[in-house]
Amino acid sequence: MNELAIETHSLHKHYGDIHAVDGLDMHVPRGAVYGFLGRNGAGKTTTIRLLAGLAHASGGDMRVLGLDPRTDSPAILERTGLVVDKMLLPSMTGNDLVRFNRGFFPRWSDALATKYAEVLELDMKRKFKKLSTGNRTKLCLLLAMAQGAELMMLDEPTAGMDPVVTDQLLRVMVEDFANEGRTLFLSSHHLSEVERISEWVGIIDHGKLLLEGRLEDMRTNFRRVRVVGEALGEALPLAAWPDIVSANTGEGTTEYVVRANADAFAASLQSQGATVLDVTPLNLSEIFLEVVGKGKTNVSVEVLA
Amino acid sequence: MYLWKYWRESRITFAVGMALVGLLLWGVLKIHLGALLQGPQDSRPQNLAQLYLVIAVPLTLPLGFLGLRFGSFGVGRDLGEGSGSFLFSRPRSRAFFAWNDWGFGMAQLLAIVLAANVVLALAIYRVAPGASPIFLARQPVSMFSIFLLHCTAGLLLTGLIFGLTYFASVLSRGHGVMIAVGVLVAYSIAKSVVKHYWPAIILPDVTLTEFSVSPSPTMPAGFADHLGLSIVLRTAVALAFPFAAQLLLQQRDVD
Repeated sequence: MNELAIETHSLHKHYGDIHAVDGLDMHVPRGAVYGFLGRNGAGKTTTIRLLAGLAHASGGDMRVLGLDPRTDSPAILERTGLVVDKMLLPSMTGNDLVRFNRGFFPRWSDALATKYAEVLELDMKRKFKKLSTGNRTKLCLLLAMAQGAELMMLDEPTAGMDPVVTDQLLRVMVEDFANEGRTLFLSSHHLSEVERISEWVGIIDHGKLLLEGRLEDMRTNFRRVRVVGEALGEALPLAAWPDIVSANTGEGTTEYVVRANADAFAASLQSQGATVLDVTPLNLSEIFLEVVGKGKTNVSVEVLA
Repeated sequence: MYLWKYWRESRITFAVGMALVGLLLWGVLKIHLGALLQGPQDSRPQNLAQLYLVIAVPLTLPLGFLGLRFGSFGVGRDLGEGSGSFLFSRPRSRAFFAWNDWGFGMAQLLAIVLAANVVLALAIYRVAPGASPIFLARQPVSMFSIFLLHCTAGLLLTGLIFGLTYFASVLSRGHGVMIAVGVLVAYSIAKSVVKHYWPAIILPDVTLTEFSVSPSPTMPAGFADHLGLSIVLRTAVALAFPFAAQLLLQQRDVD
């Protein structure tokens, strides 16, 4: 059995001159909670649409649960819970939608639907069009989660939800999916949420995956190295240190962010006479900003995996 | 389960359609059925033919309206409401959705057309059992043949308008009724223009009434002989629309 739940190679999606997905290489292991991060317009939603067979790829290859979405979309969707647009059938109530949905999925669970309705505090007798934005999102999630899916692909799953429900939802996701060996692939802007539940992270920008790897590895390896002196950034050829993500000078110091080998890098700087002030770890938010941040001297980062 | 969704959307139209057609039949029969019993016995076939003419033409309107309404339901409507991603992320092919919509819509239209014609036939049979109307062929036609022809004509009319509207709804994401009405109006205008400037060319009518009930002496000789071919061609045109809708859905990105 393929060990990857999702795999893309040089995936492209063009809308005229716009390259929404531009040579995406992504690897989502089975059983992982994978946070798919990116700025607005980075290509997250388009990627999910391609994987779900809702959009046609312009080029490249992709496999979801070992199947090709271009030819096996119904077989993939039978095993995949998808939340992408948060728009269901407007004139149906939650109960109607449960009734509608259950016929499509052989592993559908009414018990789970009831459980999630309680956990997410949803009024199932209300028509979808009369629900608030947050409650619409909850209902979309309920339908996806009660399918008994092997893989969940969620686009901004907590958008519009209050902190209490977001907390409940994340807990449910971890308990019912991550701990069950199922794969959870979620895109989000909320880095703290992703950091809380994800084991794997992929960062996309301008349709390309800039970084992919285990979150723990990123936390371990990404370091900020601060040294005295403004001219070091120019004196030190960036190409000589492929692990450098960014180099910024100012106010008498130079800050480097490296993705690996921080200690060796610091030692090298010291051997050149620089004074290293500190070497500090980065959290996911800082890593994300360094990788996709603008107005800084960014260096392309290769995939860690 | 998917058919249940279409039924939820269309059931009011179905009930209204049945009521509308029933009301129309009741009104027309109440006014004109008595005429069948009046006059000498040998004039009944002509009266019967006249009755079909009187009924078939006004029936075109509610049937056409129902074709438009039913065509606006289903996938085209979902795309217009923004729920296309939800629908097409159910594990079925896009062809499944298109043909289920079309099949169930046609089944409801068939029920309405059949009901209307059964009521009409029974009402006539009650008043004039054994009568055979005389149409263009100048020969008596059995009531069963007329019944079948009227059912076919009604189904082809509604099927054509339904298919056109369905395709237009998919194409325009929910604005199919306006487009279909526009196409039908444009076709009627084109038909009139062609008839005025090139009288030798006769564009086919969207209905089949000219075969079954029109007593017009201007109809070209032999026109009615092509009934079978005409039905096949009209069926092909009516079926082309759901096929086109399916192809469009399969090619299109859902957003």
